[in-house]
Amino acid sequence: MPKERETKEISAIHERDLDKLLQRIGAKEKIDAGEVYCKYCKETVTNENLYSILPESGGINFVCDKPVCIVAFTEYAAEKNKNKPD
Amino acid sequence: MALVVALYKYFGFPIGVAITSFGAWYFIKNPEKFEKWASMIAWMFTRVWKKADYFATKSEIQGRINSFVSGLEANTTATFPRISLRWTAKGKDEIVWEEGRAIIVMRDRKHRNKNLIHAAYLFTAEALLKKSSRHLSKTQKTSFDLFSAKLILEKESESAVEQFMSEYFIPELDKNDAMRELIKQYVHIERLGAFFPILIQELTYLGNKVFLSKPSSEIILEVKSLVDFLEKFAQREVGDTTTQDTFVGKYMRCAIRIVASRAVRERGDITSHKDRVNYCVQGKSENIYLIGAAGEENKKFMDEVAQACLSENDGLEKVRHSQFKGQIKIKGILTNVNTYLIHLRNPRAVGYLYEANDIDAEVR
Repeated sequence: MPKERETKEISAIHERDLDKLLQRIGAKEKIDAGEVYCKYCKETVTNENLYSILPESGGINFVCDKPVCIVAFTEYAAEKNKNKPD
Repeated sequence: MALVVALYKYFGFPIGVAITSFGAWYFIKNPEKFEKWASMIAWMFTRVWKKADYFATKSEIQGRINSFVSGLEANTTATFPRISLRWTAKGKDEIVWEEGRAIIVMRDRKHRNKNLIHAAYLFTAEALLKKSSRHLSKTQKTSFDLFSAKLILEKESESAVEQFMSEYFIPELDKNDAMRELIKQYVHIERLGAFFPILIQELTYLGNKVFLSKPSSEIILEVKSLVDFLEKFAQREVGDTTTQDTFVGKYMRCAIRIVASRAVRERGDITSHKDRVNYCVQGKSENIYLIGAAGEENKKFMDEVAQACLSENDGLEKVRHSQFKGQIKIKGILTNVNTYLIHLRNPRAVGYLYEANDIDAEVR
């Protein structure tokens, strides 16, 4: 019997569309002013080093593209996803 | 279209139709391969039309990762999810915004490796090993994620694996000795070819079990024992009959039976192998893996052993047979071999709901 295939959707944004998204969520000015910090390393997030945007608990978190932050974020996202139905 | 016309002109109409039909059938059966090809062509277009990189990035990531996943399914009974990349706020599209759903930033054509690494690692941790890592410790889970992402990149992009190793893999190992030890064990298990077909397979079955009273530390220890067991088995010398080949934990019970003795095969006597498998079935092993050389004669012999066991044990199922490349130790030297694996499943031994002290642990 053929196996039923589940699909995991990953949301992505092209860097070309980043400004539009940041503008929409009201974060563009803050990022341009260097007032947005990485959820993990607390260093300044810029358009160039932004890895992920995470809307949670009514706020928005940003993660920079340092490998150590990406590993921390990935494990955090997987942990949150753990108990969601397959 | 021009390619199709050229095919018809060169080979003539009937052969041209046959080639086109075969190509179409092949790509319908293997959509991930089609995506890989399409991405290669799209990347060429990006030199003249920048916006083709939306399609190129999406098909490259989906094609490469899904290609690896479909290869996995050929060697295990587990069903793994496929990745689908969805653009948010592409061009003039509306922005799709969901609470709790992370959006990953993809860079332009100069950062293809980085994009693939980010997608492969996130997909591995969030989806590929979701079932199998349900009951693991943080270190166990991160080590599985890193090792599996390395396997994906190794197979699908040699240039990306180098970047992944130096920026992610090695720094994580450098700061965590326990993780380094686990990865060392996975390397040994993978050499035999048993990382996904046996270890991840067993953990996936474990992930389908429900623990009514949470014995998390107990499970973590049992997973560690399973990894130790598989590593010792993978490291054994050919002909060594003293290494343990049965794992009987509280929540996972599996046995590996080697069917490779030339003398026994040439005698055509399946009795001893069959009896050893029957013993495992009676001993409530949930999964029994028959493993041996993938030569035609040995495969036939292994199939006969499996068939005899199936006919003697009601409920026992043959769920998968597969063939893969691995390495075994002969007189201390690692030797490349083709391995044949038959997976027998014993549903009567399987429990799904556990409370503390349901079963007494026993390792023999």
